[in-house]
Amino acid sequence: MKGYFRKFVPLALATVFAALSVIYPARAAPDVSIAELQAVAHALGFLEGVPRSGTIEIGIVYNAGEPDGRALALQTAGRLTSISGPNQTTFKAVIIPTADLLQGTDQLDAVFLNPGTSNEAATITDAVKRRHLVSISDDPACLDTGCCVLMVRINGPVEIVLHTALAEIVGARFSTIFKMMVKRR
Amino acid sequence: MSNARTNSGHKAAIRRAMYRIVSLTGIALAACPSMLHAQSIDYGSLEQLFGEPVTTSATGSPQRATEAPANMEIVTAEEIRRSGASDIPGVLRHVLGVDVMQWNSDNSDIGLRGYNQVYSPRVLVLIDGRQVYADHYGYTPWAALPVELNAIRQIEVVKGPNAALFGFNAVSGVINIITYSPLYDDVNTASVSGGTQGFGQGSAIKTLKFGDKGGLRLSASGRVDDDYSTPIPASAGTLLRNHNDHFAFDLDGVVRLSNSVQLEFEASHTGAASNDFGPVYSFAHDENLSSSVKTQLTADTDYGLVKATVYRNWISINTFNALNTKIKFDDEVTVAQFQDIYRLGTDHTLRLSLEYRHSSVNTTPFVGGHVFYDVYSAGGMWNWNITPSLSLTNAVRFDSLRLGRDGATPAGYPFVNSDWNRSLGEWSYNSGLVWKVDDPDTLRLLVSRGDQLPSLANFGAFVIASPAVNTTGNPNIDPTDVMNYEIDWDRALPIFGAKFRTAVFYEKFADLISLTGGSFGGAPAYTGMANAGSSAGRGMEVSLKGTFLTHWRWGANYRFEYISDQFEPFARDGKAYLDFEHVTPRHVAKANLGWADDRWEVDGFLGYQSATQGLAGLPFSSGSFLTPVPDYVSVDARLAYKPTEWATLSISGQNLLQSPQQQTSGPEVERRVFATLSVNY
Repeated sequence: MKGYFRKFVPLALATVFAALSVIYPARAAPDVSIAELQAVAHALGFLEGVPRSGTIEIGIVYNAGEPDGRALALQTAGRLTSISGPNQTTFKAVIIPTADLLQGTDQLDAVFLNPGTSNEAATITDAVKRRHLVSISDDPACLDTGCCVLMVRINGPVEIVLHTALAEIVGARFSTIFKMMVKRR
Repeated sequence: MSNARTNSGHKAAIRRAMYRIVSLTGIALAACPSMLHAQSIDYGSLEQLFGEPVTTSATGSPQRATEAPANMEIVTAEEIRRSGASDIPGVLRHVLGVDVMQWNSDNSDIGLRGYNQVYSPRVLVLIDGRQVYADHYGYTPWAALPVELNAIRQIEVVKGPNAALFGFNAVSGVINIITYSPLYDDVNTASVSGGTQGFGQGSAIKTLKFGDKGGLRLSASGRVDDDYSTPIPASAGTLLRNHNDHFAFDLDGVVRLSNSVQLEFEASHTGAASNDFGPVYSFAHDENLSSSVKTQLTADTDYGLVKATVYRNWISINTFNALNTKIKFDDEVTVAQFQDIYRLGTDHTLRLSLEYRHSSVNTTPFVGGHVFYDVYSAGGMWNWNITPSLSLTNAVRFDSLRLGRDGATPAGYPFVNSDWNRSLGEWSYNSGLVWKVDDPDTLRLLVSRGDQLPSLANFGAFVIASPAVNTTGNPNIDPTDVMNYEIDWDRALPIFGAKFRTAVFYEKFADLISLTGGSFGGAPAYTGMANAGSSAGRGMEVSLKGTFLTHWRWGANYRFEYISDQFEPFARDGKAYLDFEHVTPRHVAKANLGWADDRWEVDGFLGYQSATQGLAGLPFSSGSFLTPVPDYVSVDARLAYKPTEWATLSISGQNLLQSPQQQTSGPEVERRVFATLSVNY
């Protein structure tokens, strides 16, 4: 009888785990996914001054020193332009190396900080403050370095943090309801 | 003369209160140095942003459902559609903690966490924040609500007292029905249904958009059906069943006055004739005509989100019972509200509120008198994010009620109008600590207190003066105090795409209100309503819900509850139309399984209730007694097919497993099957 259980239990467990792995397949780790960009798009809908129709222009900021920096920025830009903006808008995306952010003259509604830009936070912060740009990132570290107005992260429960001091400096004004629902620091 | 003078005084008071509210709002708006984005709540955008429903029903401030300091179930539009139900009680009967007593095909009562009864008085029901709870008898006429299922974005069910936000009667909980916004959402649907019991229903909703400046939603519906054909228990009287019918019109509009100011308005009119199980567990026919108007101004200012609301409800209800007593209530409720929600620093949210309410109804079946009250309320809420993972919310409200009566009294009546010159002051509060232990786990500690106000009928609007029997409400009856303590634990199980929730609760009711027990003298002697004693409920809830393999969804929940009543001798063992210890089932379990793809939706719902007892009325309204209700299992189901993007064909059913089936002390319920064609245009 004991031998029967020794054989049966591992077999049963293996069957259950095999079934669960089919029913609940492992999920791939996300980078700047379309879902993340959609969350960014929804958040922009609560920002004052963003067009309610027509085109919203977003700068995708990348680290030119990273081997895949430009390619990743192009990928993010492509994904962003494939989704709808808030209200009746569409997105236009331009990629911008961090070093060029300060000198740029494009009329941007916001900038998205692509992965890999965290070690250039000082440059970004300086540019954002001088050009009054609304910067958005999915990296929580951007809040500590003070280079993002908004941190939007969707891994696990959606987390949105508003950097109130930087928002005030760059003149970013969000609706009161939005400010009540996000975390602030 | 006195009546006319007093009513004129009330109208002047209402005008003054409205004038003050509008003036205060105007001053507040004029004082604002700058205005920000306009805001009524765009539930759709916020839900898409946060990946979960958003609610204001816990604190008055917009919050993610998982962060609200309340035990709340949110029924989404998809869940409403896939329930297969033809009315709101049919939707809610699948929800954890919701108890539905189905008396007739078109007549239900709803309680939360037990404590259910005919004319269930302890659940405050609102549509977009407007009370549809009827003050005159303290209940919700579910068959007469002016809302189409297709117009509902979500139904928010808050369990436990939430009187610090909503005031009197939100004591077992609140059901807030949130409809789509005419400004942000574009709902254009029409549907026709037919089914067993002669069921026929038509419904249409049209949204008109005026760019981003405003929107208007019009909806209309009509419904007819026969009642069940199962025998009416002898204890419920000898009245024959009538057909049920219902019609409703509703208009909702939003105008964006500027980038920061929105004006919302709503008007509705409903008529419903239905068979009804009345307060003394007797069978009756109801004819209900209800109307409402509401306007709300919302402004996003530097001083916070300011909202001023004024609305008025009219309910005219005729009841015909086996004693051939015609009871006709004309109930009017006027409410003016002002609130400001303000974010202070990074960690604090404050809400200040003021409210004025006037409610009045005629005396019936004795005619010639009016019973009314004015309620002045002030409240506040403070939400403190102590750390990123720990928040504390405290809300408090004080309601000051002034009761009154004018008009004629019957000869030999034991009261004079001045006996109603009474003031009541009641505090209510909600306190909630929410600790997000880690990403998957959230703990809540909740303590709350509220008051169930006696209905206007309890207060004396119900008067039978006859040679045979004299019955009256009681101007000296006290509100029911309700306390609730609970601990909740939510855990996300992402690997299974599921959520686990559990709650342990203890609730205590003091000064429960009975329709009998009072003895007031007079000639001949009057009997009537009285406070019957207290009751305590202890229970726990467990639920799991989730999705798998893209197309599947499932859920299972269980509630255990044990109630002990400590009633006065006259009310013990169900003798006074009031019993919770014997009537509330100990065990209630519900489960659902569904599958959907682009074309098909299939859903099944299982419900189990353990054996319990029900109340039944003695002849001539002389009291009640307990009668057994066996345990039962019920099955509801829906199958839907979309032949095109714009059309859906569905067939759904209730009580499919066994028909007829005894679920209450009323008539046995029957199997019901509906076929529906819905078109989006």
